[in-house]
Amino acid sequence: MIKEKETRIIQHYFELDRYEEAVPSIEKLFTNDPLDPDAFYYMAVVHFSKCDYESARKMCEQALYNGFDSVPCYYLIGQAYEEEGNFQGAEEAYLSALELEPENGDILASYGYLMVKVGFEDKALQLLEEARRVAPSSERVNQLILQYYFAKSDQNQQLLYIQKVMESASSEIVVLVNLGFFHALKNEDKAAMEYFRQAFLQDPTNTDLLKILEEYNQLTHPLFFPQRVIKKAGGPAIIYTLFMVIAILLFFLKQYLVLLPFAAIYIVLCIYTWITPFFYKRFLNGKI
Amino acid sequence: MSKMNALLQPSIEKDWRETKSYDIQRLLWVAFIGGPIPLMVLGTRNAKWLNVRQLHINLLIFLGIIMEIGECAIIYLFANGTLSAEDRVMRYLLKLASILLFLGYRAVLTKPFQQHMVTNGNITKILKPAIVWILLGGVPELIVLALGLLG
Repeated sequence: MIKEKETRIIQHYFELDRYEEAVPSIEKLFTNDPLDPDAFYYMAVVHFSKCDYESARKMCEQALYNGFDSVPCYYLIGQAYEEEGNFQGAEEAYLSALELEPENGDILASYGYLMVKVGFEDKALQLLEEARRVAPSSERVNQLILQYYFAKSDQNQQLLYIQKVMESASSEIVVLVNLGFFHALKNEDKAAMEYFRQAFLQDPTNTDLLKILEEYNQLTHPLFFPQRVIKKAGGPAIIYTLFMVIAILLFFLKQYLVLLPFAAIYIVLCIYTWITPFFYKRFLNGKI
Repeated sequence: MSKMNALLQPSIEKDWRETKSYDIQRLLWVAFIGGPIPLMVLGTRNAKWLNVRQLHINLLIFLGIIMEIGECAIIYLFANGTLSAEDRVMRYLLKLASILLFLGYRAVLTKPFQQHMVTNGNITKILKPAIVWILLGGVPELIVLALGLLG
């Protein structure tokens, strides 16, 4: 009876992503039965949400030992290893989970994305395709395929999968952040900032989004207009190359009256781009 | 099913290493200040970290070596007086050549760099190796300059 009631409360908090608030209920499960495998697994999820990956793994191993369902445990252990940067451990855990449930789309996609990280791209693509085949409407699968296309700079596929994530996403923030990244990768800073701003308004406690917003606040400030133009044109190296080619051409044509103001404008532009970040940090950061 | 079985075999070996990268835009400064040698060293190191195709790396090293030989030849001609010290265009052309080599490195590094940033996101600091290699890169040019002045 106690177990059923507390489990419902824990799952309710988990659905709301308020993991820490589930801790008193998990502790009640432990009081009721110190070896309760469910309680160990729920505690592992709480540790994972707090980025305490080692404790998450240990709790999961204990849950496994006490008889908890192996697949979600191996999956969580794999994710914890992946976050810790132990990709070999993550692969072992994902494969253990897939051995028991080879048609689990979320785990196939996670393993596929791990393969992207370690550079096995053919295998990654095959695993992601398999994940899409077995779970075409899973949010996790679509999100990881979208991240794959973000990594591969494939804008058409990015748009397609943003659409798919929109259809399957459980929260609007995920969609807004994806749209923000889509524009950020296209160097469309203003559009990216607008989406990140909307995402932040949905969750003003999200410090990661706040950090991104601060960065974009600087990038999109009118002071940095020349830098944005230079970035769109291909970066400082392209501008320098163009300047040098034109300057040498003008020199050979003996057009000194054009060359001098042209060179002066370029030098002023260079100095401007060097000093504006300092000026922004000193006088404007956080004030606008 | 056999295809699936093949997919579910471990791939990561013990000696596997994570991708790393400098901020590739900073290589522009290395090219501008240091010329081909530091750019070749740091650009090639970065390309290997990001698993760029060996053919592309070798091609860029080949171009870099040709550029360095050209630069040394021009320095020698300046030093022995064949070229006038006031001939600034030649110096600007050398600088431009280094920037073009940078654009070559940028072209092969951009996509793997973006992939690294999406999947890993960490940037390795370039300042110290850049200073060391800019100084080391100047040594052969100083030797050529000395040879030109003495010869």
